[in-house]
This record gives sequence, structure tokens and C-alpha cells, in this order.
Amino acid sequence: MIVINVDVMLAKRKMSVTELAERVGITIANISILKNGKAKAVKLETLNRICCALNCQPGDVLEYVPDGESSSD
Amino acid sequence: MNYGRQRKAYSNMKQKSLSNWLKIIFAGVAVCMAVVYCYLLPVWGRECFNTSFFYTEDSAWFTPWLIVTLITAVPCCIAIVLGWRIAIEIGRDNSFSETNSKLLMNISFLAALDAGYYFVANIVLLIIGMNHPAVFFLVIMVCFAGVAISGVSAALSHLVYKAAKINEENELTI
Repeated sequence: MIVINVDVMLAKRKMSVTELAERVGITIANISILKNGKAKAVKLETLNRICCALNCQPGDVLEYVPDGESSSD
Repeated sequence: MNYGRQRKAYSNMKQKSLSNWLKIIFAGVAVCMAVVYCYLLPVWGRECFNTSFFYTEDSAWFTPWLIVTLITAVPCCIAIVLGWRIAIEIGRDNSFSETNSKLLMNISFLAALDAGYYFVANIVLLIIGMNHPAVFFLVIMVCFAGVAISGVSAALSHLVYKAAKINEENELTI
């Protein structure tokens, strides 16, 4: 499964979840859905805004984890 | 931004209006059903039975037929309650949901059960000589309507279920 790790980038950029939500233009609830892995799909536009807000590459926030394994650090 | 909020408010208002309208319709249907089952069938039915067209020397025909017919009110009442619950869900902006899909499937089952029971019961009464062919013909028409309602409800249930799945996926698309 694809895991979205925004926590590491948020810590690096010293940004809060609220600020990220405002910059990306989505609600905090949706950020939680992304972080919890409950999202079924992410629009490219949303990914574009996340990368723009965090000043990072998609690979910095997206990680592939085989089903059944926990995510690496 | 303001336009988006206005659109959402308008959509909510339409949903509330539709929900209230459906509740009014179901309440009206319930009242009509009460009139038919409590007055028209027992009173007018008895009067029709006493006309020369239906007259028979065996006056015991009417009561068993009336009992068989009154039993059909039970699934109808349950279906109206289920329809009322669908109207409540629509009012909560929960139109496309698995709940509504299950309610519609239950309505379909009740309609089929009611039509099947009424048809078989009237055939049995006809065979044992306690029914009239003209009455049976009317019963067939009623059963046909019941089967049509069952089919439409089943199809609607499937469509609502599929729409609920699409809605769920849409809500989880960020």
C-alpha cells in the first residue's frame, strides 16, 4: 500500500498540520485521512499543492509499503 | 467562496424540501390505506357483495376474503415505515447510502411477499369455491402492481448501492 508521510516533512519545515491544510486548501480532517491511510485516491493537483507547500518531491511524502509490513523510518 | 456556500445552502434546502415532500406523500398514503382497509373494504365491499352481480346463496364468502385482504395491510404498513425512514435519510443528506439501499431491498421483498401471498390466497379461495372470478381478476391487477413495485424497488436498491460506493470513494479522494 502507498503511505503518505507528511509528519517528517512537517517537522523538517517546522509547519503545523493546520498551516499545511490552509496552504493546500483542504480540511484538517482530509489531512488526517491522508495520514491514516484511509484515503482511496489522491488527486495530482492535491499532491502538487502538498509538494509546493512543503517544498519537497512526491517521493519525500509517498512511500510504498508491502501489505502486512509496517512502514520504515 | 460565497457562491459555493450559497450553492450548498440551496442544495440543502432542496434536500429538506424533498424529504418533507416525501413524508407528506407517505403520510397521505397511510391515511388512504387506513380509509381503504378500515372502511372501503369492509363496508363498500359488503355492499358490492350483496349486489346481484356477486350475490351467492353462501353468505360466508365475504368474511374469509376480507380477512385474507386485511392481512395484506401488514406488509404495506411496514413498507410505509421503511419509506419514511428513507425520507429521513434523504433529509440528513444521506441519500446514497447502504442504509437506503437495504431499506429499498426490504420494500421490494415486502411487496413481492404481499403480492405472492394475496395471489395464492385468492387462488385457494377460488378453488374451494369461496371467491368470485371478477374479484379474482381485480386481485390479479393489484398483484401485478405489487410485483411492479417490487421490481422497481429492487432496481432502485441496486442503483443506490452502486451510487453509495461511488460516493464513498469520492469522499475518500483527497
